[in-house]
Amino acid sequence: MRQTYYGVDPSVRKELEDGLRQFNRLTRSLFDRSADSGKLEGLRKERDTLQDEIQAKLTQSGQVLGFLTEEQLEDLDKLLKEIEDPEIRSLLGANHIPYGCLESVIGALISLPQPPRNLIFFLERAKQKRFHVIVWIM
Amino acid sequence: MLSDLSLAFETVKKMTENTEAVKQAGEVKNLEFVDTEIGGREIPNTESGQGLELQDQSRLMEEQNREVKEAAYMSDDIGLREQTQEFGDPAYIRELRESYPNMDTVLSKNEEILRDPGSDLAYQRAADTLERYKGTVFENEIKDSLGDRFELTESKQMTVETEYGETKPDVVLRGALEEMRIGDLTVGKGEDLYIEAKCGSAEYIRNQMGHMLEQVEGHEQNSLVVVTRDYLDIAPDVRAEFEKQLSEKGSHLYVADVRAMDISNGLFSSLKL
Repeated sequence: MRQTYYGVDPSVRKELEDGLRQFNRLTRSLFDRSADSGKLEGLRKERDTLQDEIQAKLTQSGQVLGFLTEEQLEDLDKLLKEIEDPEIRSLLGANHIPYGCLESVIGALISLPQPPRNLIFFLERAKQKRFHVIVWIM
Repeated sequence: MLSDLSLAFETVKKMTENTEAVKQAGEVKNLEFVDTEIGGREIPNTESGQGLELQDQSRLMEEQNREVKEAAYMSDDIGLREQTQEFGDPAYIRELRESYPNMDTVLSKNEEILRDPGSDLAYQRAADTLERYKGTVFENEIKDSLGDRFELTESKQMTVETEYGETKPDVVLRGALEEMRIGDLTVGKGEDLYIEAKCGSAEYIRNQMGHMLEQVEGHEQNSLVVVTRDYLDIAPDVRAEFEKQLSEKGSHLYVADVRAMDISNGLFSSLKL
């Protein structure tokens, strides 16, 4: 499993917005204990289709900035708990980091006792190219 | 169609020769009369709408034929089919994690990720991890179902050398306490059983066929491949070729009566959130 950081321009971000929102809703629904197996099956199929569509769009129109492995993500989880600003924490747990927020996110990461250099590097690249960032697990 | 049914019956009969399942096979034999009576319901032979009735008859026969073949894949004399039907039950999965510390560690870790409150990426990571982990859960379920029938279940995967390189059988069970039949494999008392387990969609199992044929090379004594019911969605000619090659390597196939998606759903629902 890899958490990949893609740089996208504003038009691609706009195109992906609804799909990502729906993908998140579907993912959370998979953990709904009250849903019966028939409903879950439908949700899974819808989610799989959407996942393929988003992946295809990112492959076609996004630029890979870098990725984090499962082990690196576990380390990052520990570091992010030290970020006090709930807005920054929320941005780092979302699929989308807008270009306008990159400066403050990078600033918060740099100020950590052990800054996550790889993630800072990905976000810096996005900032230089004026990209929005889409975070995608694959 | 009738010859297909006879062939299917012969397969079942062959697999159940010296066990109590002969009785079940006798019941299956009644299906030979499927052209006049299906599921205890006689098919009326009226002239009007005969074309439609023939279509219905044909469809019902195909359905019966499919059921007979599926029953053969899932046949055993130890109640394994009934056990595999529970593999997607969240309560069973919760019970299982008590016996398998590694499984408990993985599930606990994901429960932790999703708390406080879980972010979008946390949910996606957990979903991805659990989706990939269902294969291990399936292996543990097989160990749990068969373990009591053997003297010992190897707790660690052992490495076996084959002409294709090293392989690690998913499940190794030592010393059968009694003779048993699983699919068309009879395991004698005192014998060992080596199992490769595959839990996934038809496409996944189809893609794994080549690998499975290599993996069974590392099996000693009794060799079995256990797959989820998704296997039955693979084209019959592809299945037949795979089963032929498996048989040539001295291995056997058993289809668990559960879909991979049922195990995924059960696994997700089993989390203590």
